[in-house]
Amino acid sequence: MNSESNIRKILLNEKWNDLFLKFSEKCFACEDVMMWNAIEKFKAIKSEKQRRELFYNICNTYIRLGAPLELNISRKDFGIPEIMKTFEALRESAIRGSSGSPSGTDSPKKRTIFAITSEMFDRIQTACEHNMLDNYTRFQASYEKQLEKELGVLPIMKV
Amino acid sequence: MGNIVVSPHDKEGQHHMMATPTSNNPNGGSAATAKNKSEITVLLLGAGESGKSTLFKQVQFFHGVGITHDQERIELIEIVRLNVLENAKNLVAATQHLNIPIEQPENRETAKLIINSLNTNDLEDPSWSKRLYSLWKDAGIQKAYENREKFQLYDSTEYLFENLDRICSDKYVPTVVDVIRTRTKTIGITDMKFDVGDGKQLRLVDVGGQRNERRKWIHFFNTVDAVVFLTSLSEFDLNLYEDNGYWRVKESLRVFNEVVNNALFYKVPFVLLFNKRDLFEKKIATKSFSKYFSGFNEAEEKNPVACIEYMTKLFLNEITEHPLDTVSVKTLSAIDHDNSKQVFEEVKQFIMTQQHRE
Repeated sequence: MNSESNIRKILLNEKWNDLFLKFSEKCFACEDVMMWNAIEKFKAIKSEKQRRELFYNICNTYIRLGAPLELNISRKDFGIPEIMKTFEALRESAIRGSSGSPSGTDSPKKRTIFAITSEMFDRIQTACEHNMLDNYTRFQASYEKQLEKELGVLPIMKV
Repeated sequence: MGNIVVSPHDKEGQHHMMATPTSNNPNGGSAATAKNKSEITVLLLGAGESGKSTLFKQVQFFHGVGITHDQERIELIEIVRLNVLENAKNLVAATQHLNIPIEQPENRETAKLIINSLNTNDLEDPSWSKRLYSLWKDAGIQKAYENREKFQLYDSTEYLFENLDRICSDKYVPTVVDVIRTRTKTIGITDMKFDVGDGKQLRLVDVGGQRNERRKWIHFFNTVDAVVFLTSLSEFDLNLYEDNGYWRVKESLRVFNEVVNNALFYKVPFVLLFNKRDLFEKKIATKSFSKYFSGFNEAEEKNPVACIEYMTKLFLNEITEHPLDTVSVKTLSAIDHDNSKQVFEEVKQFIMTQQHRE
């Protein structure tokens, strides 16, 4: 019944996800929805190689400072310091590219790479939901009737 | 401050105002209205937590756009309770970070639950009112609170903890004051329109203030008729949310410089609002202001007027391009309904008078 779970209900429904994304675009606030969707995809990935690639792309698109769709979240929470360390390490190894020695035996100042797990972005995903609350309230007001009919998102007062 | 136009206190607007929220399409029709002077677009700008949205909400309320839907109230319950939890979490985290022990064992238990499992639904249970209030009153938490410039905390913390008995109840219905006091970081851009008489409409545009959000401001720069820039007087001892090693005043000055000297704004009236005057006066009573400003006379640091005058000079020094006779400076306490109403009315008159001059 709380709006966090309402948001999740909408985001998990393909049609409503799309409508909410379009609404957010008009408000110049699409990055949280797009990141949320990217994380869903990330969580479903089985192949380690693909997960690593998507991890890199997500950091590059949404998290690093100056990213094209940089999220409005604090840099020291949500596990971001660890995520960024891993991202930097991946980037470094990509730059060194083919000339680099096999991992594990190379440079002495090698950074810690945290294991890339499917839960790695979970806290950011929740932060995205919180960021969406404000615009969601307005979205909800414009689609009240339809939301109630199609998703059972009820405007019930608990008084 | 000889060049500064301070618009006269005029009588309350006589005309009846109707407000229409237009937020689901903030950019709608802007191209068509660029030259149409029947619509006056006013941008609220400023760094994060300067009070743009608080002023925006106040204007909504006194133009009759309030909490209209019951559903909206439910979302607001969630937002208020999230604020309570975030404040509590930040305070608990700060005690660890600052090495201040929480004194009472039962409060330590509460703290553990807050960090690990407590969610907004739990706050329907009135027992949380007592537990959270007891935690708030713990000597360790209070000591952390006294040192709140060392971490990120919302201005609303004290207010929310003092109102827990209402908030932690299944009968809780947010009041207008709760909504004004609640912090919601604005993401993206929203607007509202209302009639201001003479067949004119004022369109007020609210934006997010953190660094990533500022990239979005540019979408509105072409269609602007006036800019209201907010800065928080009480941020002199604080660092940024998005970059914890960066002094907020420095950031505000930098953003102000970029905005006020932007060529697109040369010809538009510009208002600089020093917000959070209430918090500021409380803060300088206990904290040193001159510690942060080497050019300020220490003997004057308990005098709010002198401090504000100093801040005003600091900001006006940033103006290199904008004609000073179209800049107006005012102070504001945006959480205060009456003060917001009066100041916004003055801002509106200033803007409309300037428009007239063209």
